[in-house]
Amino acid sequence: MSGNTADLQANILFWIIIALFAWQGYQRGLWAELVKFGFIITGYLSGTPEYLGKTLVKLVNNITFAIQFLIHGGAAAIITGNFNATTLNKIFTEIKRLPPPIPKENAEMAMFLAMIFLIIIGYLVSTLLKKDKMPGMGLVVGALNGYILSVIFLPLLPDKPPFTFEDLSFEGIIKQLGELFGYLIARLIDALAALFNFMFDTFGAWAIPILLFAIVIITLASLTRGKKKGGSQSSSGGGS
Amino acid sequence: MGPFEYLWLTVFFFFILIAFVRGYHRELGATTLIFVALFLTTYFGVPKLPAIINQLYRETFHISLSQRTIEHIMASGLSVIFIAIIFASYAGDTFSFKGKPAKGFTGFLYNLLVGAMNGYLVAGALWYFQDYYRYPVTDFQILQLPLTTTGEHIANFLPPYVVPPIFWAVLVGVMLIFRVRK
Repeated sequence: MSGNTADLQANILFWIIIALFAWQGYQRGLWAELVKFGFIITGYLSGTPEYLGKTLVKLVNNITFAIQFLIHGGAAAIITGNFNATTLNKIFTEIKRLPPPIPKENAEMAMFLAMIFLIIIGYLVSTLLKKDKMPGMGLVVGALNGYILSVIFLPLLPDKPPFTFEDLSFEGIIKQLGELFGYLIARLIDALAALFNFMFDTFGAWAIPILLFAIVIITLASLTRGKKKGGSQSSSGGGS
Repeated sequence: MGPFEYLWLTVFFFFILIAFVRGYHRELGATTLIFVALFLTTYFGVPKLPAIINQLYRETFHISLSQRTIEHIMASGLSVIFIAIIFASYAGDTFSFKGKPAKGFTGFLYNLLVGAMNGYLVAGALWYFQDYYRYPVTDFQILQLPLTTTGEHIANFLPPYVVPPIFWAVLVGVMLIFRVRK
């Protein structure tokens, strides 16, 4: 019974997602949706181990390995020309002791985050494009984007419906809405905790400085400059 | 009183609400001054002030201050300085960033992010002044110790414990570059 309910909910969700993306595609036009499509596909390939996922993890680990090589004396050896077997052996012995930034147990999480990251970037980049005159085509590609995202994310939903409304009286609905809200908050906290754990495993003590830096750069870069009027720039300064 | 960390969680959520009311482009101006305050307190205040205060007191009264008194002065003094800077960043003609903030869901997300960041920095710094100086406020029975398990866990991630002091100056530099760009 609960399995059927979950299937029904997943089917409803599937069509809602497609409809939402189609509507957004109609509003934004073809080019914005094509950009989003490109990022979603790249994200999907990066998040799947068989396609780009493993290569991406290897790439990050190898780049970090190369940077560690340069930091631990490689750069000095290249500059001074002291590039002999003893020096290299010493450097490699030292950096082999360091853990890779993405260990095997975190590889899947890293691929998943890379996928999410690319999809979000695709969405943000698409918002920067001007609306074009092909809303019909935008609708089609938007629906396609919704379909791909449904295919990627809907299988991640639990088999059992996590929440059902059983008591349909007014008090019952209010009480169950409260429980649903609590359930969603708890899942959100779980997801954030998993993300923070991953960040601390990967970046160690630098996780919080990196996070702060990222928030500052992203939010500052998002402030679009207004059109100049008589040589003065629009400013939102002043007043609390 | 309830667990110690509840007060700080309230401050944290309060800053999120402020960000939603003012908008993140204005809140980023406050963030800049929070970074300045954190740099001043952690780079100069915490390492240098105790010796200066002790020296001044010894030269004036010819006796040294006890360790606990210094802790009281430092925790209260740094908190007052920090709060004064934060207050100044919100009062009167405020420092804010040029440009139009994002709207819709993206704008909501940015407001949330900047509000959470400011809340974490302010609540975290005030908590740090207590934690670093062994909770002087508990001597007045205002708040209770020990911390709960969650509180102890959170206390390991207070901003000055996890961010090197010079990094605050780097962030101030980045903010100023964005502020003056044409």
